[in-house]
Amino acid sequence: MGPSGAGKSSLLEAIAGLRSPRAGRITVGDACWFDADAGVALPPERRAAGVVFQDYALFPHMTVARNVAFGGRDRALEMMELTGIAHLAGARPGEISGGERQRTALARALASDPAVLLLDEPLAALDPGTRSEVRVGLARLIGRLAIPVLIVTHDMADAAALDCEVAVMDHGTIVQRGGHAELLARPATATVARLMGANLLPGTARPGPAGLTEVVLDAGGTVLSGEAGTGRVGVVVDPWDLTLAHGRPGDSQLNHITGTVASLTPTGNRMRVQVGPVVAEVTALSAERMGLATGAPVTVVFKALATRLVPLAG
Amino acid sequence: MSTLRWARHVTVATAALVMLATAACGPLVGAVDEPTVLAAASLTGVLPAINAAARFSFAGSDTLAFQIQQGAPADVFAAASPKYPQQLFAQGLVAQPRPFAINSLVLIVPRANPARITGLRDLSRDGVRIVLGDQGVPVGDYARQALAALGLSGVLRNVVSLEPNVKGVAAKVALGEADAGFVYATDVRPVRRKVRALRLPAAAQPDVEYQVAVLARAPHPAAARAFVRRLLSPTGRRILVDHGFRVPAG
Amino acid sequence: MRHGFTAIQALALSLALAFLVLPVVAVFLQVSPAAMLTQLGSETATQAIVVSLRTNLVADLIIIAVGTPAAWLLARHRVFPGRRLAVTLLELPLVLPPAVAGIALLVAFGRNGLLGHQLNALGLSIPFTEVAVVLAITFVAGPFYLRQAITAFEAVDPRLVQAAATLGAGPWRTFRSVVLPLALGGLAGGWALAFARGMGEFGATLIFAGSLPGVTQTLPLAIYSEMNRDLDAALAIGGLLIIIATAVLLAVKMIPSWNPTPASSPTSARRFATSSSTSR
Repeated sequence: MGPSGAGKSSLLEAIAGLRSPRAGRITVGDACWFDADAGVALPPERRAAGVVFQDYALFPHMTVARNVAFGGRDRALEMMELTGIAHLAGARPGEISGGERQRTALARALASDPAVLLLDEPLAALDPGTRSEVRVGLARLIGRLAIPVLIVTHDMADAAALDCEVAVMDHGTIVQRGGHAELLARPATATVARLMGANLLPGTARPGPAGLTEVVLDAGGTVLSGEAGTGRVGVVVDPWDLTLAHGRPGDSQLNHITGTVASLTPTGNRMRVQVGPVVAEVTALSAERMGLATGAPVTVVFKALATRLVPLAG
Repeated sequence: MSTLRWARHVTVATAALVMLATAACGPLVGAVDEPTVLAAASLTGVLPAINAAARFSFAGSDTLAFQIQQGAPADVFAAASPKYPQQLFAQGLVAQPRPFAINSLVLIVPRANPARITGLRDLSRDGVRIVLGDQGVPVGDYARQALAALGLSGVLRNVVSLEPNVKGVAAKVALGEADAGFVYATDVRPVRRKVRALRLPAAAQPDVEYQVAVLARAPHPAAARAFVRRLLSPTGRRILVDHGFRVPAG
Repeated sequence: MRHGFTAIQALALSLALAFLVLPVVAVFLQVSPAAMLTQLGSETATQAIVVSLRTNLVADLIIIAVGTPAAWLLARHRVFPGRRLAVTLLELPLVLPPAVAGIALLVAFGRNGLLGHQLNALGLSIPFTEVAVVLAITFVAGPFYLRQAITAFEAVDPRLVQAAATLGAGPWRTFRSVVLPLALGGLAGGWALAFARGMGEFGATLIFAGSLPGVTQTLPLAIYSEMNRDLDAALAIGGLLIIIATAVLLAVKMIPSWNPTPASSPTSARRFATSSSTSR
């Protein structure tokens, strides 16, 4: 992840061999693909990197089946089944939906039996309506792959939903690496804090009181949301929508999570406070007034209407 | 405003524009009252010396005759043979043609003379590259006549190109690409540094008679007649002789 | 006023159509199809047809064989020292009068030309041969193909070329199965232009190759030669050239063109382009 212009796509292109770095080494397993000092620079066709481009770069003159077979004839059928596009074999890229195009690009990349899978903004080309659905499918597929997958995204929801290690890139360098929750709670820089954005609490949704949706969190407890949803969902709530209190609030429309302060991370004149599964962002002043300290008991309060629900892979 | 009315306006405007443009070009090319002369390419050098003000279009006589048949708006036709003026006269397209100059046919070879040609007989040697005027182009027809008169028609198998006019023949020889070609004596002048001219035996020398005629539908008949008069005058004859032509008796 | 403007446009279109189509129609009105067939059976016509087709075929093979890789290189590498100069030089014959082309070829490849000595030493003499006709056509028509081919290749999304490479395809396979099919419409358009220009080539051929029936006299040269003798024969050959040109134009329009498909909104691929790729 990283802001635009951080060099994320360039990094992928360097790994795939589409761009020549001035210095450094690129190795995958035991294979060295690039070594500026040793003068090693394999051409892209000799690197086993499967790439899914942001616009998918499907060959418009070939059917879905031929696109996938271009990557590798032997694995084509298997990959089309794995990605669920076998029924589209005879269609051309122009005739299928955005999500189907994305799966075709995935199948094509996987058919070439890559040692690493590189996805450049795999969801950016999709409209918001289909994005979350496709995101779930992507997460499920990646879970079944036995190779490292490198995904470039600018959307925190992707990082959260795909449940992977996140490296935040800024101005061409990686400024922090870690799990989503860790980066959210303890951002190394303001950029990281801004990027990580919202909390994501996985759980199971069911109808709740007053037309609200009740989500039973995996981490324990329930949360009410103003958005509709059923089954596996993530409750998304921005850290600055969380307030901290001592004791329980009386309003039933308010969600509350009680716990102890796990960490305190200042970002500028604000403070990130991790409590159980969530991170709240409060002004440094109010953190001081409340006398927050690691291990101190505290209640996190947020409105049902401040939450969004995103579907998650079951 | 209706579409129809607009269309009419535009039509009229367009027509007016075309007429205006034509009128604007008119004086530019058709000097007030000077004749337009269609002349054989071999007259390129001499005619402007006789009347510098006239407009000239030089080409093969056959091409010019064709243009006249197609209604070219010209005043005078000066051809390198009697054939086309007489034809056009018979068709009523020109007035009575008058002979005004006589040219002779010569054989030219490049200065370096790579095929070492010293006479017409050398032309039948294998590998000699000869250029002639095309069939129907007077200089070509005269050359074929001359070769036939000498019993040398076998030379024709050495022909590598049939040029649409005499300047094409002269240029190919002058550039040294062809070994020999038949042109008019008057065509040697412009390329005399690059070619050598060989005379034809008297028996083979055709009468290359030039004829001039005023077009029946000449837009400038008075100017056309004046042009012909000057061409046939002592001055005109002197200039023709200066340029290598002979002039008919009288 | 909107109506008025539309009327002007419609009128302009009608004028253009009438002006451009009338002469073509006139040729066919002047000679009946039967007479045309008879004329085309004449020795002059058949010889000219054979010479024209043969020389154009060879010239086009050369143009395509050399022009295609050259155009791909120029399209692929948009920035390299001397690229602009190279492209300009390649396009020069486009703006050169054919007569200049003819005389230039003569002083380059003629017996006394720049390469004359070397060619003579090899026992080669080019002027007045079919080779000269081929060279003249290649010289004047080649740039039409090259220019169009560069445009066609530049229109191929570089992402697709990269994608092919990441899928293990070497440069040759990428070119053959991705670049070529996608650029085919444009290449065919370029070839059609080159072919049409080559079939119509007159000035350079006359100057460089001369005009001899059965050897160097192409269809346009035959028209010029016949015009003075037999207008009907000239018109018949003219009609034939019109038919050939029309056939080429139609054939090119039938070639599928692959427009890049937008990634998010599904649109069906257009198998048959309604517009000629030659106008890009």
